[in-house]
Amino acid sequence: MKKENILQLIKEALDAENEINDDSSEENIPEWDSLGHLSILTALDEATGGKASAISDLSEATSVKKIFDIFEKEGIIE
Amino acid sequence: MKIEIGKISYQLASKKASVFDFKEENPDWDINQIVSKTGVETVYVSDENETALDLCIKAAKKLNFDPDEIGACIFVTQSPDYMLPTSACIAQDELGLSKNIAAFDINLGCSGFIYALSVAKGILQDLKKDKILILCGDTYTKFIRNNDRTCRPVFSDAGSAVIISKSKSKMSGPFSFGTDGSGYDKLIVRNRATKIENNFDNFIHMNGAEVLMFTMSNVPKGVNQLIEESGLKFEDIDFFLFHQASTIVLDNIQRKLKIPNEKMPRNNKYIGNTVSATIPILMKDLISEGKIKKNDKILMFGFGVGYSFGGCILEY
Repeated sequence: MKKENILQLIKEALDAENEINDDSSEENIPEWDSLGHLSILTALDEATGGKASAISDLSEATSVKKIFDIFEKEGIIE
Repeated sequence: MKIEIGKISYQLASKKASVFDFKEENPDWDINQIVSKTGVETVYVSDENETALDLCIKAAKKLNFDPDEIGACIFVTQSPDYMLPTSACIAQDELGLSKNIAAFDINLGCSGFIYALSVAKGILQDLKKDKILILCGDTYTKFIRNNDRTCRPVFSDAGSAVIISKSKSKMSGPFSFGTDGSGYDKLIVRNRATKIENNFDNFIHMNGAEVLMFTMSNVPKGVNQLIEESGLKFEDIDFFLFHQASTIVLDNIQRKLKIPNEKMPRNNKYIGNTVSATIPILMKDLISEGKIKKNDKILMFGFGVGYSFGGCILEY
């Protein structure tokens, strides 16, 4: 996946008003609450063909940076 | 030993509550967003003096069964009346069951009904009688803070009662089970049993994201393994009855397994998550509606607190 696709996917999952960028997190995006995070996890799993649900660390990745770090480690980001 | 599911009944807790009304006490909650994720619009809340045992006793009395036919009573609960004695022993007396029966509790949550079915299947061969009463009941709402946005809009109190009997021909298996105790604290009630943890309260706490990930990574795999082991094809299964956790969880399972809507019924919208009673309640409703028919092949799968999961394929 490309990083910009992940950012767009997060924006859509959250139905966020503001743009999502590398610094976005639960701290600065109002829609990124615990329920919003479930939507992100679901969207990531769908987009990765089920790979995301096998990454347990992802449940605590409540920032774009953490998601990018995990996906880079797992080889999911191009 | 083959088994079959006979009569089923259930009793919902006495107070019916609209999830939308929780906003009065919690003005900061976006109820529409919550309901869009959980799918639950109504929950049932037990009165102060109403317990899981009470609900299961009421459910069992609706069955109109002959108490003398029952050889064992299995009670699945995580909200027993007492630390001891076992709730199933009290149920034996209250239901007028024979004193020559086995009666015991199983302390499991959302996976519990499947475990009880398997235990019933196993123990039947050692009993003098051909039927077993399985009671599944919980009152999680007693553990929930009024401002708990994760649990309060989802969990509901109920008791169910199911008669299991020996069968000559019904398909009754395979079963599969799974446990991952590393997730013990992702859905937990502390400080109500013997361990004292001063830094924690005694209410229920659920990490929704962790539980969702556990479900997504284990349930679809478990379902596929069960079908493979059974020798059946995916399309041979008439109904997939999953624990009614919440809509987001069920949607993900359905998406990953590509199950058609008509084969994966739900009732969480109207009843909520009644823990181990969700599968018996769903099955009872489908039988009453004429949807589940005799000889239908049903795949059941429970999952959650523990972490624990269990599944089986049974012919009705």
